[in-house]
Amino acid sequence: MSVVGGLPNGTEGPPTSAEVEVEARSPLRGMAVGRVVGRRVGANASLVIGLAIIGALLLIGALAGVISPHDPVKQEIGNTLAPPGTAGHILGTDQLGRDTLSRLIYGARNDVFVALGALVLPFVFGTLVGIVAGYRGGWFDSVMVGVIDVIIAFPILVLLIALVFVLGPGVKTIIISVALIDWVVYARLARTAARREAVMEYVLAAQVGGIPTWRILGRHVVPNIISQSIIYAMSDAVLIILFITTLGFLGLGIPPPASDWGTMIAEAQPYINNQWWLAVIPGIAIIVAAFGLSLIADGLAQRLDAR
Amino acid sequence: MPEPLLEVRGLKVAFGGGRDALLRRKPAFEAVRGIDFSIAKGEAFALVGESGAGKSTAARCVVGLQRPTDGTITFVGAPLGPRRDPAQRRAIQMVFQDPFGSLSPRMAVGAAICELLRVNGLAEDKAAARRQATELFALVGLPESALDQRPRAFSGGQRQRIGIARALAVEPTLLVADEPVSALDVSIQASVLILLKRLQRELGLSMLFISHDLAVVKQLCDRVAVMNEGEIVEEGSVQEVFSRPRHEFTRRLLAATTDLPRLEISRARLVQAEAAVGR
Amino acid sequence: MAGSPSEKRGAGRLLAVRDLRVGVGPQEDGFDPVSDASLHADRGEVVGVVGESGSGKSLTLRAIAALLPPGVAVRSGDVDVGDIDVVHADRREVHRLRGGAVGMVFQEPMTALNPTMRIGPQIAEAARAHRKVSRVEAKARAIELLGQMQFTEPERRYRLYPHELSGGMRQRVVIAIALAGDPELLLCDEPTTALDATVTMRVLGLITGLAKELDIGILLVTHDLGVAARVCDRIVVMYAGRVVEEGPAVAILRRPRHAYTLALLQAVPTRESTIEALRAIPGSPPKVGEVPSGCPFVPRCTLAEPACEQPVSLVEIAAGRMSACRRHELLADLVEADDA
Repeated sequence: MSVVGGLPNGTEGPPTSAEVEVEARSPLRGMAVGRVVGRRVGANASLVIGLAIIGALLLIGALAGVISPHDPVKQEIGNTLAPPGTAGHILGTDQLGRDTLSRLIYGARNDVFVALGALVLPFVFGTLVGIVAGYRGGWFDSVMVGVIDVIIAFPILVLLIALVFVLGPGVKTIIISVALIDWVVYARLARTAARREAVMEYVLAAQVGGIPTWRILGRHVVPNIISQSIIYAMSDAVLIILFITTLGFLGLGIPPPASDWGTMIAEAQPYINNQWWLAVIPGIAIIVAAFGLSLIADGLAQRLDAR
Repeated sequence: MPEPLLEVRGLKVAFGGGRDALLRRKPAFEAVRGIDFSIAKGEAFALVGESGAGKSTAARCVVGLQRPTDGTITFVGAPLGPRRDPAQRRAIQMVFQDPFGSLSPRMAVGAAICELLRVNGLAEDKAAARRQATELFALVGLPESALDQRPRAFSGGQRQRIGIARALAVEPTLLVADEPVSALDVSIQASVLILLKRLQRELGLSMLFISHDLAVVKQLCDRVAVMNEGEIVEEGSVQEVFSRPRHEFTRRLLAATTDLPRLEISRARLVQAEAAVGR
Repeated sequence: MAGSPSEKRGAGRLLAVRDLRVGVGPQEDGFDPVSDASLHADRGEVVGVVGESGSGKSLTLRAIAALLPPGVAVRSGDVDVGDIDVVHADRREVHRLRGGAVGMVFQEPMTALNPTMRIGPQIAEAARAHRKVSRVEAKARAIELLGQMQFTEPERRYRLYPHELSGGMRQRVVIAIALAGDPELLLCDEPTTALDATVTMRVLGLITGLAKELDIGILLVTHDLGVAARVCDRIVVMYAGRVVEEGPAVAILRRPRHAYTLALLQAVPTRESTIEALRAIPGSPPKVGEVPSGCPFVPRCTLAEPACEQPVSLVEIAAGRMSACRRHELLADLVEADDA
């Protein structure tokens, strides 16, 4: 799954705990590239560039119906495996004569949209659970830690694929299965941070001052710990895109004929020797998306960490 | 002695304990082992001792951040339980040690104080809260413009002033100060001590002062209890304890207290010279 | 600079720091946490370097041991430890310096020790690092050092782990390690700040005893005037990256000749002082990079005159006394008449 090349650890600054967490889980060393570029160009620039890339991908996805030159599922049997640059098909066509550019554009809709969509549920639920568990402690915390540890003990990708297998392929399945498993990561992040924050003197001061617990959590604790989770969410989006493309590759992804980048790569496999661009073009799309998200993560990390 | 404001009897706090996975009792660590003390209205009382003596734990029990294992805390005649009513909570406020950790890092310091005022029903609207916060800042020697800054804009001494203003915001009668100057630079400590003394006199505050440093205690407090390993080994007026320490531990602590040779600079002539400079 | 190196280096002088400037970052225009520090130490004396956080006292000490953190470097000036020119030392000389000519004691005894290793072998290892001694000899030396550090039953203590010791005992082990290479100069960076007051007394007593007993020089960096008053023969006062006053400890504490030292002495709560007599110093120390070009204390000084805004350097004002205060004569006049 090492789609994107990585850089050695030594070139980065001291990692934040969120980054360590990401490093520990992420098979995607491409994140490191984004981070190094981010260091170079500064927080604002990397945030702007990252948001521009992801914004553009989302826009392309949203306007897919308008801007794509062809119907992504329309087959031109007489014009299969056309190379990039062919008249009418800038990026060529695939083995069924479908326009690669159009499939790429619809793929952006499926991959980026679904990935960000799949992120929301586990992010909100996991963070909520984690903060309450870490701040309150007691039996709720003990139970949650048990649940989290059990789920995390399994290799996440295997668990996800198993779930998709059970629930059957489809966008809804992807969102449900990601939500069912991915929340533990956010719960663990938020729990650790909330525990650390709960004993800080400014939280104690708020308690002594009689500020209600929900308000302490909302106004004092959350703003100080959420940055880690948001930063992680950006890299998580990359993981989910990879997950969706992996599912596509395994034939469990977004059902055909709708296009997604993983399926495109999977279908390009037999032609890798002669029509290599069929696999490389969606590969580049994945890299660009990952790069954009990692730039956002890095820009946010630098901005949010400045207390 | 006037009627006590706060009375602590037989206070015990044990940490750990409980039962392990096989439901066997785990040994508990007793941080506070049954201490008694009382603070009169308007009095400044110190708990002094070394790290691990249990003085901070005792202070946390008084403000309600720590639940005692045993013992009673009585405040103006009423027992303080684990759940305090808002008036009881407001009456006992705390100044913390760490000037960098005790202010909400992402909130303008004025907003944090206004929040306290609003939540406790001490200001009807935003404008009133702002007015009161400005007054509080003036009381601790900070300009109104400081209200809109975040904590990172301030030095350690200024943050400690903000922490004091916050504690005073809800109009407490007893101020608990846990090592309020020990994290500050030497040149800053005096100004915070002088501020605390002034507030104590002007507002008639009672104070529970926690410190490891007898020299600091001497500047601020009327009475002192010396704690060692969870127990109070000696208690008396600051003067008594300084001039006639009875317990061996107190003597050792006193011997280790900052002691400088007498400064041979005439204060009167210094003041004259400063007046001549006119700064 | 005039004079040949051999002339410049005073004979028998253990440590000489001259016009030291320590900067952050690669460029000259970066800021200098230490902008002007000169001090020296001789055998058998304890020299206290006193200053608040940001005064540059710790960086000065680290520059002497060639232990500056990455990105921080000596920009100019000289540091001589015995015959070693620290600023221009090569690898071999730095090795001869650390753990050889100088020993270091840090603030936090727990992090200065290896938690997974018994304390005795840690001392023995330090003893072997600089001289060819057999294992048996190194062990004997470690036990001897433990005895010197007032551990009862040093043979038995040899086998303990750091976590089995109290904070004060750990710091004594750290001192033993620092002494294992038979240094001539012991550098102590806030050695008692992490310790309780009663333990502090014992460690300080040990340090003073060492200077006389082993006839080595000790440089003690501290923010605590009380600590300096207890053990130091001479005191060097630093403020905002500069040495502002230097002289015999008692003289400095009784009759300061720098306005900052005087202000500090009036602001420190002591056993004898009362809050009425305590005088706060207005403002706070300048941040690194925002130090005024003249005397750095001017913005907080109650005795400053317009001339104080001009650059000022450390000058000898009496035998063995240096001050960088333009008002040092005024301060001399303020000494109480009956003592004059």
